[in-house]
Amino acid sequence: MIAAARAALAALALAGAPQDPAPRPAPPPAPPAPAPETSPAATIAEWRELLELDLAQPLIDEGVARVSAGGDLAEQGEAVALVARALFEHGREAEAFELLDAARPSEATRVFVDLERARAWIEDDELDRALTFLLPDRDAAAPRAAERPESWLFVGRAWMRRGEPARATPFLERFVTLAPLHDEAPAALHMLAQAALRAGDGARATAWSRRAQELGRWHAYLRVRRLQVREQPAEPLPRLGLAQLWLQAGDLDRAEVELRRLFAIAPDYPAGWFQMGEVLRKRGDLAGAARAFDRALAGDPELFVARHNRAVIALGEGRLDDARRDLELLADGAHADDPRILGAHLLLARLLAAAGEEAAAAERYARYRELGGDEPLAP
Amino acid sequence: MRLPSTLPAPAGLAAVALVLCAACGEPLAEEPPPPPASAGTAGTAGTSGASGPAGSLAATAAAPATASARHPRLIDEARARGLDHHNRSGGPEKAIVLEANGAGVALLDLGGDGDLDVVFAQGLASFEALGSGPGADLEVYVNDGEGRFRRAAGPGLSGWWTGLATGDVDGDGDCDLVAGGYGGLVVLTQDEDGVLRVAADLLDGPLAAGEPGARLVPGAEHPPGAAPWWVTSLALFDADRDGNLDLYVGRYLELDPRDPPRGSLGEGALAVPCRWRGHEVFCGPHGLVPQSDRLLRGRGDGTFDDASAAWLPDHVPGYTLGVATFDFDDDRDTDVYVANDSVANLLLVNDGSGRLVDVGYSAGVAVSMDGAPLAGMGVAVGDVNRDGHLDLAVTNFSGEPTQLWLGGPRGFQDRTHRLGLLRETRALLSWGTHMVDFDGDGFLELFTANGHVYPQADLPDTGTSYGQADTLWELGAGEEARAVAADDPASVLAPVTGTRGSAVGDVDGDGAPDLVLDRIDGPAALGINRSTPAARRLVVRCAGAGPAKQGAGPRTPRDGNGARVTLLVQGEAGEVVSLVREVRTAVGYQSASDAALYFGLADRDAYLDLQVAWPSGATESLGPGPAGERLTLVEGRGIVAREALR
Repeated sequence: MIAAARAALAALALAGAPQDPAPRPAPPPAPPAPAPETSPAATIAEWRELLELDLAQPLIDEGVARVSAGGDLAEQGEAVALVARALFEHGREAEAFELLDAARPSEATRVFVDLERARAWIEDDELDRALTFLLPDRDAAAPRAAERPESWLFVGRAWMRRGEPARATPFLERFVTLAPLHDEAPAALHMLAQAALRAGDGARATAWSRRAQELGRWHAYLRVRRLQVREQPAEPLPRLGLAQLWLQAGDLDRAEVELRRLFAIAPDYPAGWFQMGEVLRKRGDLAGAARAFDRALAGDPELFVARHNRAVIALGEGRLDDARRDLELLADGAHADDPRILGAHLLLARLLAAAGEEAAAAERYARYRELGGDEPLAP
Repeated sequence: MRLPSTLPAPAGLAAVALVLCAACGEPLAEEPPPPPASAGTAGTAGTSGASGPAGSLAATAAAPATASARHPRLIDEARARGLDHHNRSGGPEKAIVLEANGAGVALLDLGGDGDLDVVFAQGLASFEALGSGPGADLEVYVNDGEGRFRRAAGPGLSGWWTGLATGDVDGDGDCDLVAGGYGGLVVLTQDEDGVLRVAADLLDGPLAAGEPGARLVPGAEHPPGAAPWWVTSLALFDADRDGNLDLYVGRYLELDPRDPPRGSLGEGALAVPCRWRGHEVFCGPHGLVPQSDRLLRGRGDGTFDDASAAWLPDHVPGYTLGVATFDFDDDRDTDVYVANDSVANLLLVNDGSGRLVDVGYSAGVAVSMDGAPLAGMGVAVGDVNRDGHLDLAVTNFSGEPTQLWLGGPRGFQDRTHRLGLLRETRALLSWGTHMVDFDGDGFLELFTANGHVYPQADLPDTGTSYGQADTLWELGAGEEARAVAADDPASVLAPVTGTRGSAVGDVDGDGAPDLVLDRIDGPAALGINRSTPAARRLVVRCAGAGPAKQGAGPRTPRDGNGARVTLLVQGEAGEVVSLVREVRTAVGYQSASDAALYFGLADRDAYLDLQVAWPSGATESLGPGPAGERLTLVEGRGIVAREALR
């Protein structure tokens, strides 16, 4: 029964995303603006996101001074690189190269400047120049700055654009292994698909292509959610969507970060507490998950997905009365026919059978079968 | 804002990969050894091309590695020659996407007098005028035979017109016109006086049955909430090889004329503002519903049946902007390339019966090399490297390159970056495009019509600009794109404006291809070919036997659409060089070029052989001949007319 419950849990977790399953409570008043983040790391993270969302004007307006000689971020190679990229993408290519050439980053962060220069060469169709820098030995198996995933990507991209897909392939494969969720991973996967096609390997091309499209769609959703969050920072729904996307991708830490930010806006947001329950459950913290589901249901007793998962946890912990209570509410409730909780009917039938209530078990099982279930009553 | 792409399902890649890669296990194309470390770029960092508006790009072109001895020049003589068309395309602020896309232009012979006349699609001065009317007519300019024009009466249409296609739809030997628009799709045939008359209003019949809002006449009642057909590029070609022209109808998106989107898409907490580079701009196409293309089977009398279900069986709607026809796989039928805005482009391969199946993704011509769907505006076709295989160029948005792929026996090779086109075109937003031998040296140049959609592009730090100069590049044999400088203030490459539709044809009768440009919200341009030194040329016009040909099997349309002509000439090193052209009018953006084929022979006095592969399957080799002539070929009868070029 526990295995079946776990299977039911898995299906439900997937079905829980990405749409908001619960009625949205009235939005609370906008919270006071948080104190501005001023640490270099926070600034760099913000600039990175602005670039990814094509909102890079602040990097140009304030960033050039901060990363130039004498600026507070002049030694932060990554900051220099981000500002240079903003300049390049906004038509100020010559200034971007000047900034990179004049940069005096710390040794530890010099690699960002070097790689940004290589990226700019590639975007300027100076493919050989980029390859000469990244791969001084053209037959080498690893590029300069091999510890950075981007280095592998740039070599692969440069070879592809030169029309040499066979040479690109090992570098692109290494990149997607090192950084599977990188925002340029869909591009790398697509290039791998094209290279496989040119090599006559249709099956491999199909596999790469499928991954490229799935990840591309995920990134597209992510981008929209991030834009929505920026546009309406006091709205919990887009932030919930962001958390769901990270949960889908398996990044529980980032999902939790977004959920904590959501709770700062809407502390009792039921759908948010359901997702938090999922984060905790996947981490193995079943007690914490159950408490999260409690909180979700306290805010919205009709949030059947939370009730379902709470019941399954209770079953696993031997709290059969708690489990039965929730399962009966589900099986007799307004959402009893929802296919996402089909398994609840089976779990209830089995629990009743285990308790010796054969007639009740048979009735519940019959209902399960009516709804399309095909597993046996006895596991 | 990006929403999920609609790339085609990859399920069929395995099968298509085998089709495209006949010798599996071998690389698709030659992979030359890496060159030595480049010496030309050593030293100071920096780009080899200037940044900034397109005008400065052309003016500061890098010195070519192998300078052409010939210089292509296209001098704007529109005003002097009476071509005084002025485009209207909504308000200057471009608040609605319809106002930004502009119109097309067509070149065709009205009246059968042997010269090329011009027809412009026309829009309205404001989006609101769609409700108040009156609508616009097509604007017709008649050539006096010397390349001078006078305005003639239009066919009496009323609409917001966008795309034009030309071809002999009724098989009577003259060239007809199909006009599409926002809420319009009309077939016009020539009467005995060469005047265009409406033969069929396709949206007032079975094609749009069940869509009461498909047709929109400015000023007339329109059903609330109904989105009209938004027709963009059109292509007349013979899909099923029955000798009658069929019609590919490209369509864009659903736009409610009473309630167009403004400011944002979506509602409430999930609303996403319509922004570009942080600036508020018009909404679309992302987030709006694309309209599916249609493929109509011609009956040969100017009427059409909707064959979309059978001939476009797996079509995925995709904001179509550009359409071009060509024989991709050298099997004598006509395939179609469709440029879609922000979603994957389509390479529709014809199975010979008219059924078109998309192989764009596996052929490597659907998206960028990074897998990103690009803006996909216009399409050009030509044999850049003179290997007998047709190549493709597609224009795109700012921040994206004009793409160029070389065709080969096993598919396409992306040459965009090797040619330096990302660097050359990153600041440009481009529309109409052509691969034409303007200077007559035997190699094709690449032309793009440019201009941004957002007036906000002129704000600081966008990396582009609203007004852009049009651009021309020499491509050589496909080594590097070398921008041609606008060295004359009267050059069509000089003004910084916004061009959309474009068409190529010899309007002054000297055998050199000229260029007509439709400039958004502005006067049209007429680039008369003044390339120096004057090259020897050959102009070939083809005519097929038509559907009345006896016997079974494929047929060539009466206007020769789809015929492939190969001109063999002596190369510089004594080798034999093949110059390949195909008869088509659908190329570029929303426009129709002349169907005649233009060959540049440089200083050669003669050619070695003229070969024709007709869509019917017939092949003719017509032997050698002199340069400097205009030839008319008729299927099965060889050269039936010769005329010396001026």
